Order: sequence, then structure tokens, then C-alpha cells
Amino acid sequence: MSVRIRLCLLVAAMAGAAAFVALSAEGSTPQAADTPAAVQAVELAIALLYVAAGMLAWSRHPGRLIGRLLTAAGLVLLVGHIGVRVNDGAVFTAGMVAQALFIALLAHAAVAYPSGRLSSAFDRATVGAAYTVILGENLLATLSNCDGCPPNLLLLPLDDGALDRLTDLQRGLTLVAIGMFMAALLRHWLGGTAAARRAVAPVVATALVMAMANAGLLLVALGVPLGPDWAWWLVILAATAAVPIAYLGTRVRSRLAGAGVGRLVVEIGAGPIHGQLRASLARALGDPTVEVALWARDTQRYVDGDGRPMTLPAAEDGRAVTVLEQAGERVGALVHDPALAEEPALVESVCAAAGLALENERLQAEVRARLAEVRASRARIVEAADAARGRVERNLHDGAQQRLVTLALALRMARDRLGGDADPAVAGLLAQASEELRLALAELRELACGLHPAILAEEGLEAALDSLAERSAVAVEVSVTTIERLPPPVEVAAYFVVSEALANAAKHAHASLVTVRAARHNGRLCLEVADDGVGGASIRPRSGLEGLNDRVEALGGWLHVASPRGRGTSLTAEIPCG
Amino acid sequence: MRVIIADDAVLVRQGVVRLLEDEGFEVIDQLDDAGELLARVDQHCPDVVIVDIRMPPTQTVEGLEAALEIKRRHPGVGVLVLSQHIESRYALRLLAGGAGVGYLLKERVADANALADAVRRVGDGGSAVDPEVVVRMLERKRRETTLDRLSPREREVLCLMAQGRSNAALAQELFLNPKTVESHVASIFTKLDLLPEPDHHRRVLAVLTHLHTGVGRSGMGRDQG
Repeated sequence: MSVRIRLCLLVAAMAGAAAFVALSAEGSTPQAADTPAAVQAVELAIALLYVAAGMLAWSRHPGRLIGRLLTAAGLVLLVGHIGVRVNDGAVFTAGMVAQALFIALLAHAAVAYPSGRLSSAFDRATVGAAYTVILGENLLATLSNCDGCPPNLLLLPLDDGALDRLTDLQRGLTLVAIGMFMAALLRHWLGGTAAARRAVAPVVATALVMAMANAGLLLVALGVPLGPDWAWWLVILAATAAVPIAYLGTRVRSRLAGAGVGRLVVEIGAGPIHGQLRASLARALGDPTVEVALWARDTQRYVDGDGRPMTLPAAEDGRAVTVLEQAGERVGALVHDPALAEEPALVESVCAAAGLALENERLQAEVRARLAEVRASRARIVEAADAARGRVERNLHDGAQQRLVTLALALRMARDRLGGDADPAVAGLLAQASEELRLALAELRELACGLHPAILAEEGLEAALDSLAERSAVAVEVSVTTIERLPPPVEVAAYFVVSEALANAAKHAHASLVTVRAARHNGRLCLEVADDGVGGASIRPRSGLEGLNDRVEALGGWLHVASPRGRGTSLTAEIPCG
Repeated sequence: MRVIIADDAVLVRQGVVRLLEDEGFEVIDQLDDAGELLARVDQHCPDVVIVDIRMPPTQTVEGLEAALEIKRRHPGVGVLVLSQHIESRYALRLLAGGAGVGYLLKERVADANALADAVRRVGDGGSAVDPEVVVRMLERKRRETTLDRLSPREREVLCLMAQGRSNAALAQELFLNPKTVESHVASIFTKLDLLPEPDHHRRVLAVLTHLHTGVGRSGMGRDQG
């Protein structure tokens, strides 16, 4: 419906423009004839600009009055221009009314801008005053400066003296109306938020200029020496033209704000936005009061950046809430200045970007949580494995070792009892059994020590590394500069790293000297095991080194092997130790 | 000699008790944890205490700690620690506690005479260090060591000396003339840059410490000028 209406109005505007051009050429009234062609062209252009700006506002916000007021103002202005060019009393009078009505419509639009509503009694009074004084002006206007114009049919039939007094009164009332108008605009301006001011600034500024120029003109007419009236007319003309241009300008700027959204997207894409999202959104929206609420899926409520529950404001709190969605799922909400409703495209783009950012942040948090979980479970696996080793070692000690020692004792006593009388074959068998037992005990002892080195738990890393060095098949120089004890998992990891490195140095690297360094530095245990062997070692899958790497990484550390061929192997590791 | 034995492995303990009684020792008390041990030692004042290094309640080295505490309170009581660890550090800690101590691998109890010999030496204020512990120290690979200066025979003498044998025992074991043993010992001390130690315990400690650190009193720098 409204589209059809708008089409009809557009056609009417075109027809009006054609009529205006035709009448201007004919020059049927002195009003038309006295006006230079350039000014006439400007007048036409201004009228059409109003129609265009009104149409645009109408299509942007069909529910608001602004578009219709501006369209009407443009059409009325056109009608006015045409009317005052027709040499007929009725038409001429209608043109006069139309021209005056334009000013009233414009005042109405400016006070109602941008919502289209007159939200306070003062606003309504101001607009009412505007319409009243404009109509009154027509009842009094004499157009005394227009010789040969058709008569104003609405002119009150009064004598010149009464008419002059009434006209002065009318001018005074008009000044009051203009004052009210300016006061209304200033009230809006001062009461508005930053975003609201930004949205209305150009329109309000031009409207204020126009009001001041009108006031200036009136004051000149009332005899106040404020310069020639034609200068004020010029200002009024310029301001009249500026209003629709300013309005169109705000639309263009709203589009340009899209560039801010582009930057926002770039900022979001550039990396972690944690904590900076709010600032980026505030910048892109031009609303420093913007707040971001995250939607916590598990608890189904909004939380702030620190995870604290957050209650979204209701509409009457003077805040607007836009829910952010990503792939159909709620990810959060923006709490912002309701004035941003003026720039729906901007809000939509920013919300899309913010939705992406929150989704991104949520996914990252999820990954971080999973990673932490995996790290913790990795550490638990290593801990559990160590505990199991400890249990096996203890079982070996309490069980097999004691039984074998008891057995060795029994054998020894049996041999003692037999003494020299024994059958040499039996004695030989018993001696052999004793020797086998001795070897079994030695092997068991090495196994137990390899599983869970008692000296490490009891005496600490330095003693355990020294013990490793003593047992090593290669010469080892140990230098430990940590004095205090470290957390057991760190000591165990460090011990096994050195143990494996020493075994490799002897078995594969054919080294003759290994240096082992351990030092505590900035809360980390730094280990270095370097040999002078053949090199060429690397962390291969399923190798001992890979197992060590896993163990060290499980503790949040790292392990690095440098092993150029022919130039020895250097194994370095760092393990956080609190 | 009056002996107290503390070991939570009952079968081993009973075997050791029988063995010691067969060898003519008087086992006056036996118990299975370290907590009670000190009180029993205070009470009975034995000649020798045999203690397992690892016992309840913590199953770590309370046997060693108890041994050191006994030496502090009763320097005259000999203490023999039985251990399953070939750890020179434990042996050295024990020897640092004073004369009349021993560190033997537990399985050594089955070696002919080894246990009785060690108990006797410890009870007499001598020392006993398990041969495996000494051999491991002696055979430790080093970039440079004063031990390289020793002849094979001197190494042999050093090994037995480090186990806590007296010169007389050395002469007997190696079928050497006591004078020859003395000259070997003097030569070893010179080559290892050690000052002669007339006291038996201090001699063992000096030799073991040297084996542990691998360098002489003046360090290796002397030869390098």
C-alpha cells in the first residue's frame, strides 16, 4: 500500500516539477518574473530534495512519521512554488498557504526527529505553536512588496493600522514559537547520549540555523538593525536546502560506519580479543556505553566477561538489547544506547561481527578447557604409571627379594650342614644353585632400581644423578646447582631423562664422556646432557626419547635433542617446578 | 657378642638369627620395625645392632636413620645395616656416623662367613662395606682419576681396604707378608695424595671418600701443573 502511495506521490512530484518549469518560463505573476532563473532552479531542486529525502526516510523506517513529514514538506513546497506563479486568487492563496505550511511541517519534522514522535508536552506545544503562527501569518500577510500579485483571499479585512498592529503581534508570537523550537531542539541535544547526538547532529544544526535566520528576518522586519533582509533570506534558502542534504548525509555516514565494522572484523580476526571486544564494539558503534553479555550454554544465562551472572536491562531502563546469534544459536547480547536504532544496518553488521567474535571466543575457551583437561589427564597418567612402578618395586622388595634371600640362607645352611661329607655331585649342584640365586638377586635388584630408584625419593635429584653416574658405562661429570628438593614428578622426569640419555650415550653414541648439568632457573629445572659421541640421534616414534618427551611435556616442559652427525648429542629439557 | 636384630622380613630374620647363633652370637632381641629399636638398644645395650635399611612405617631409609641415631647415642655399639641398594652414598653417610659401622647387601647373609665376619668387625669398632659397593665405586668410569696410578696389586689392596679390612686381614686374604701389605698401603696413600691415616676407621673413610669423589686431597690439578 505504502509503496503504491509513494509511487503516486513521486509521479505527482514529477508532474509538479514539470508544471513549475512550464510556469516559470511563462512568468505569469510578478513573483515568478522577478525571480532569477538560477534561484528558480534552486527552489525546484530544494523541493525535489525534500521529496527524495522523505521517500528515503519513509522506506527506511516505514513506521515513523519523519519520512512522511519530509515528503509532505517537499510536495507542499512544490505546490507553493507553483501556486504563487498562477495568476488566480484562489490558486495564489493556496500557494501562499502551502509555502507557509512547509515551514510548519519542517519544524514538526525537526522536533520529532529522529523517532517521529513528539515525546514531551513541550515538543507538542512547540509544534502546535508552529502550525498556529504559520496559519495566522497567512491571515495577515499583505505581500505588500508584490505589486500586481493576485489578492490573498484569506487576508483579514481590516484597516491598515489594525493590520500593522496585528502583524507586529503575529511577528512577536512567531519569535516566541521560534524560541520554543530552538529550546526543544537544544533540550533533545543536551538530553541525548553520544550515539543519539551523533545521529541527529547535522539535521539539528541546520534546523537551528534555519530557525535563527527566520528569527533574524523577523527582527529586521520589526526594525532591529540586523543587516539587510536579503542576507537573511539567503541564509534561510541555504539552510532550507541544507536540511534534506544533512539528512541524506547521516544516511551516507551510517553506511560509512560500515568501514568501522570492517575494522572490527579485522580486529576480531587478528587474534585473541579477550577483554578487547567491548572496546572494539564501542568504537565501531560509536557508543561508549555498550556492554557485552555472553550466553553461557551450560547454565542458560547471561554472564559478563569474568563469568559472573549478568541481568539484561529491561526496555524501560533506557537501554536497548540486541541478541547475538551465530548459526541459529544464541551466543550473547549487546546492551547499547537505544539511539542506535537509528542505524539498524550498522547495528546489524556489528552484531554479526560480535556474534562471530563471541562464537570464536567460546570455541577457543572450549579448546583451552579441553587442552587443560588433556594436559591434566596426561599428567595423571604419568603419575599413575609412577605410582604403579613404585608398587611393583615394593612388591618385588617385600616379596620376591625377601624370599630369594631366605632361600639363599636356607641353601647356605644346607651346605653348611652337609659339610665335607656331601656327595661332590650334590655339593656341586648346591653351589650352582647358590650362584644362580646370587645372579637372580642381582638382576632383581637392578630391575627394582630401574623401576623406582629409591635414592631419588629419599636423597633427591643430585644424589640420584650421582648414583646414575657411578653406574654408567661411560664417564659422567655431574654438575647440579639445585640445592632444595623439587616436586617428585619433576625429579622423576629429570632422573629418567638423564638415565635414558646416559644409556643412549653408552649404547648408541659410543661416547667417552657425558656431562650432565641441572640447575634451577626462574622456577624451571633446566637439564642438559651432552656427550662426545657419534651423534645422529632424534626423537623417533616409540623410542625411549619419545617416552621421555611425553613425560616432560606432561609436566608442561619441553625436551629438545640436538645431535649433528659426528658432533655428539646434546639433550636439553626444561620442566616447570613451581 | 650380644646382638639385636631388626628386620620386618620375618623369614630372613629368623634365618639370620639361626645363622648367628650357629656362629656363637647371642641374639638378645629381635623386632620388625625401627620405631621400637632405639628403646631396645637403650635397654639392652648390645654389642652389635643389625638393622634392615628399609622397614615400616615409611619403608624408606628409617633403618639407616636409626643406625645413625644409635651411633650418636651409643658410640660404642656396633651397627650393621643390611640394604638392597648398591648406593655408595648410603655407605658413606653411615661411615660418617663414626667407627664400628657396616653396610652390607642383604643377600650377603648367605655368603660363607661374610655376615659373621662383618658383625665381629663392627662389634670390635671396625668397619665393613659390601664388596659390591666398593667395586662399583672403584670401577666408576672417570675422565681422569688418580686410581690410574695404581698397580693391579695396589688396586686389589685398595679394594679390600675400602671394605674395612685390617692390614692383618689383608695379609691373610692375599697371602702376603704384613710388611709387604704395609708398603702397598703406604704407596697407595702416596699415589692417591692421601695423608697416612693411623686410625682404622678414618683410613676406611678417607679411602671411600676418595673413591667417591675420584680425586685426591689436592685435586687433579697438581699433575696438570
